Amino acid sequence: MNPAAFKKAVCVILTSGFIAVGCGGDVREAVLTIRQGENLPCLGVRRIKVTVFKDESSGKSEEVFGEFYRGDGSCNLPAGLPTDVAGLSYAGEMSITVEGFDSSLDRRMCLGTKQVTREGVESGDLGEMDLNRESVDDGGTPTYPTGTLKILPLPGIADIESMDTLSFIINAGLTGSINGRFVTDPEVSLSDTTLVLSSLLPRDPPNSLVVVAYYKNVRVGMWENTSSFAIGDMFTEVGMSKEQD
Amino acid sequence: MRVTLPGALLLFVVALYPLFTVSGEEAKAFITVLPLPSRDVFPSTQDNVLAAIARQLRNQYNARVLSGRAVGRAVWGTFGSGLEEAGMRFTSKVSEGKQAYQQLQVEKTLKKMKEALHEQRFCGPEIRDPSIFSDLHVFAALARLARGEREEAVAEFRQAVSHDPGLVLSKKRFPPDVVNAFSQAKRQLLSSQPTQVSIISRPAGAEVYIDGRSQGTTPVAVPLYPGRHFVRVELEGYSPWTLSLPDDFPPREIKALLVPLWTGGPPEELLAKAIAVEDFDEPELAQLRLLAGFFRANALVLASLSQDGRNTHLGIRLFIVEPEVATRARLFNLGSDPGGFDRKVRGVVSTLKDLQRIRGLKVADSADPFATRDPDKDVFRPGKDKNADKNRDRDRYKPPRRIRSSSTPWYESWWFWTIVGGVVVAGGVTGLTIWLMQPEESWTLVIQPSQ
Repeated sequence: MNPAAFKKAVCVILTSGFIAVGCGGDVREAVLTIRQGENLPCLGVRRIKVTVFKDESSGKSEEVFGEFYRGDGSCNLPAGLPTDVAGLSYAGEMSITVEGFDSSLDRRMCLGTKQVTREGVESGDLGEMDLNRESVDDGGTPTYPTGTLKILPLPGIADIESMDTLSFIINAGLTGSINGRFVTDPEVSLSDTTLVLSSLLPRDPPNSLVVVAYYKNVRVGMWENTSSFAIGDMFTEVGMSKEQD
Repeated sequence: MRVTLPGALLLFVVALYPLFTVSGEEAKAFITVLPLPSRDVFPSTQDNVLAAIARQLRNQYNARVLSGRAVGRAVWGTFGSGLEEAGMRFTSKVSEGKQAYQQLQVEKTLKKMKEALHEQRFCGPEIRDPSIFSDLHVFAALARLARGEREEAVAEFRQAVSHDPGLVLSKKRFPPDVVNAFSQAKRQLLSSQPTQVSIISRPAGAEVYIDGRSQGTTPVAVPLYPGRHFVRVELEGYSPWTLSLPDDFPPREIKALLVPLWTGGPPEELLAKAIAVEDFDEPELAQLRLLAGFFRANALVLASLSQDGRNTHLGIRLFIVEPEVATRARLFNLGSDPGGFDRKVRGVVSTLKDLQRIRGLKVADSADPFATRDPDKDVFRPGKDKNADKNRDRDRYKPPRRIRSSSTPWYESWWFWTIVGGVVVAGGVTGLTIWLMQPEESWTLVIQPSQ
């Protein structure tokens, strides 16, 4: 073959290679194993949120609902797991955060973090991560309060046609009152589910709990505890009655 | 397999490279751009336009091109160019300016020197008296000083010293403030290092003049200080090659391709009719054949530049030797912005489609049209071959010459590699499109409990 033809043949081969490379794309799967850490990390945990950050400010997350605790406060991690977060892009620095919440929007019980590299992802195994309970500052002393309220299904909530917010307040008007909003499993009706508030400091009776349902900032339902209760070391069941408007 | 996009693009460029490098063996047409004398267009503008025409002919028609004012000068001499008149006007303006200063007419001195400067833009390289260059600026500086414009005077003195670094103003002839200003300008200029400008020519051995002063024969290195300078390269039997350097720092190298002088008289009839008439008569055609033969060109492009107010107009006409074609002249307005000339000339040159009809490409298969001049080559040379006209008529009825023989194997045929090229480019574009459109490379995180 003459030099010109040779050059052109090389051209065809290289370009074919380019096309082959251009058409190819990798989608990989990497497994991260989570373990129970110290101080009853899963006590009262109803929701696990997995977030993968490709930098410090942006990330992609996935939420898993389920009853992750056992009666003794240990983890029931298989509930809802394994789960996956798909469509993640590669970045120079990547970190994974696993957070455990009770039924509220932002009361975090436990946390685990891990830095990962591209090479780690490509190996398919990201190793293990410990899920540890977060401490609460009780007057300067970090403690791990385990007081947990299991709020029994709210009567009559199924009859409310429209509702966009379900908020709560514990010991309204008293020192140390706690309020917030519930986040519930979208696949389970509120009339069937038990709501959980955890990481509460023990407190003798009388304690009170009010739950209010809103639709566009208008109250559409309200419930109060049927009898006084103590916030103990572990689980306390609280029955609720609906107030008439 | 993971490849970054820049890497893939590089691969693609490398892959395409051979496509653009394998056609170098083929003969190219040789085109000479013959500029018609133009007395009202600045030489720098002419240089720009002629260079743009040559560039576009090379790019669009893959031809070898000889162009530039030197070509025109080789044929027309200074006939009709106005250069001689401009030179006389320049000398006369400088002399009037000097006279006006001696009569203490400061404003008139400045006016005359300004007019002289304008003429100098046309004829600077033609001036053979080096003292006129420095006189122009010295007397302009004296007038400036008389008006109290010291800064401007120093600038004028600097230009005068740039022309003649050995210039001295005598303390006996000039007052102290003049001598001081001059010394300051000289000190400023000479404190900087001059640029060693290397001047080469082909053929070598040509006499080099800078600002009218002889600097030896090429190749030569000349130290030049920043300022306006005029270069002229002369060799017997060749057209003088001239260049006006810009006001700032001179280039490090100047290359002059000397064009042999047309041995006949200036083809005045052709000059009169080149753009004006629709169809050439036989005498003009004969002159064009002679010119093409002299330059060993397959085609001549006649270019006429003129100035209408601020606008520059380009008249262009094409003459092809084989098959003989003389197109009609067309006139284009290049506008007033020299920055846009290149774009407009590209459009003008694209109208010369008849160049694709050139046959007999063996005529100009040498890189240097003058280095291998061989009268025995099969170039049409009117006047040298008595049977030339007869032969040309005979050739005209021959079937077109095949560039490649019929025994060319399929893998060397143009159609095969055109298809391959098409497939490669289409494949590359498709691959690139798929690459750009596909989602970013991604991964999935699986969270599982410990066993």
